[in-house]
Amino acid sequence: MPDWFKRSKSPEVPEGAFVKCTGCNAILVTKDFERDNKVCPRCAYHHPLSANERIAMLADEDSFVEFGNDIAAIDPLTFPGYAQKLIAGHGEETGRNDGLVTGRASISARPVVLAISDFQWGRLAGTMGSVFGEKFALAADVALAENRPLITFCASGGARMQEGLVSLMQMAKTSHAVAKLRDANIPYIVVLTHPSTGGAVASYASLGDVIFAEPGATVALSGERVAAQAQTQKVPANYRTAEFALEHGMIDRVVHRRDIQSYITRTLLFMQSPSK
Amino acid sequence: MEDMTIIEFETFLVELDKNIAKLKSLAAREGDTAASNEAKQLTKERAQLVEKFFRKLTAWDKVLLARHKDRPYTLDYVAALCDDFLELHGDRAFGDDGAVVGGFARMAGRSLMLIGQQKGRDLKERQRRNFGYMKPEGYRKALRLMEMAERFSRPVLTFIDTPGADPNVPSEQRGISEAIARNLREMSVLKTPTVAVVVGEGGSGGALGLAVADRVLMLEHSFYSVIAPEGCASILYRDATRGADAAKAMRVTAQDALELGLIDEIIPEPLGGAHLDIATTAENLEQVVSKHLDALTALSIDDLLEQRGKRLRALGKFEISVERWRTAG
Repeated sequence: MPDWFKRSKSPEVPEGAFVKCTGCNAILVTKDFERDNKVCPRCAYHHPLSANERIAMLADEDSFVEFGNDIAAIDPLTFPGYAQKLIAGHGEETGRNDGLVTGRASISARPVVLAISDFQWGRLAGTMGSVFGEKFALAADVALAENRPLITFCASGGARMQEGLVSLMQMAKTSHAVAKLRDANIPYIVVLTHPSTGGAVASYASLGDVIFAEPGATVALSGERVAAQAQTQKVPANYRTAEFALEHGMIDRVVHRRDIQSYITRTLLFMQSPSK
Repeated sequence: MEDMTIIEFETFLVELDKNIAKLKSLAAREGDTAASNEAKQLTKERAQLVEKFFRKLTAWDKVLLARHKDRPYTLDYVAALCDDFLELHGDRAFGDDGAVVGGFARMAGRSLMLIGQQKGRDLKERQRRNFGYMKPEGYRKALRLMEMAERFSRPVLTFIDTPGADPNVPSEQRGISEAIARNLREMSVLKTPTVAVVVGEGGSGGALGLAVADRVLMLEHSFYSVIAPEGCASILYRDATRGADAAKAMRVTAQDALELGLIDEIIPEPLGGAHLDIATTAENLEQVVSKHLDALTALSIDDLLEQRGKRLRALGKFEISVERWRTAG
């Protein structure tokens, strides 16, 4: 066989140098993809971010100081499979205790409190169990005590089934925390990211003074399966999305990820007096 | 007997009652003492069976009882307990939701705002009331009435009986999430005493949307759950028919909720369930509700709100140490 007929050895491609866009299948250079905060430059598909990635793109450098990471779930119902998920979650590299990350930080030099969801933690879909509720309430307490705006990024499947009724009550707990902020005129900003569903949007995540959402994010009360079963009529093309929520007056704006920090800063500029 | 659900057990009782009636009529017609004795014996055994069955109700039995077709609904309690009830309608924005009724009530010498989820008895009424699935306008109507109660210093009593909030397109369009969320927020700081009673199905956020209160009570055979047992089963076991297992795993009964410290008191039902004796159930309910309202109305509004705030802030089961899961891993 002549040499020229042999397939030339493919050039070395370092592991992970490219990623494929979930939205349009475009092949993207990982370095650029990460610089763009995992938004596809071609189709603007917003890929999921971890809480750490959110904080890095949002907060002033090194300003984030975490609190509430010492609270742990106790599996109150000894629910099938829950303990394994908690062990897995606690064993993750981040060293986190839950799918909600809370702490003090500054954004454009303004002190704030952040409560950022991590959808992936423990494969628990950012659900609201007792630890979520307590961390959110703590974040609100700090915001209230220190007169800092509270900014939350939601990515949640809703209440955490594995904690039964205890988790449903976290909706009441977080909503009450928001009521206290409201009474004290502390700014409360919500950013809905994919997906924001169930008990989360039926409580704290629908109560922002201002509510932004990322493009294409699922925003709905009912889960996909419930929604599919319940439908007795034709479903709009953008049903259960951020755009649908905007169209029906449920949120203020759909905001591209690269602009979110600026939108939050402008919101704080309006809400806070110059002395703060 | 062991494997029967409550509904199967009730069917069995119907058959048993038929037999007893036959024996009795035989005894009366022909003076058959053997038949008369057998009827007496069966009647005695029947009572024992019922008592035995109800001592060992499963979580699933409670779910079935709470959904029983003859289960008393809000308007049945209104009829049994209220000297006067002036129903009010509409959310002043979009419509009137038949799945929730509310209005001025006089109960045990007290004026209060009574708001309750309402299912229908026959097909036509069920459709009109959307099977108890509330829409955004329902939560907004309820909030309007609660805020009115606050302004006129009347306590609020809510009855919970819903499979969940309405999940259809029009409800999403009109902000079902926002409507529930707003109720949670506003009820948490409403400046008047509030009591919520789960009388049937406490279906998830749709139930909670009327149930953030100073006191939360449950009827003995009602249930309260973060997700419908069938929904949980379809996630957990990939099999929606395993609702009984899911109900047990999630601990959805009133007794569970009390043990978990999430409710204040259980209101007893007559043997066999509320539907067999609505008058007694209603009386039990009124006594417990009145007792709590007496205690709550004695508080200043500041104390009331402080206590409610503390209750809400304390909801949750956790510990301040992550060792358990770190070392386990």
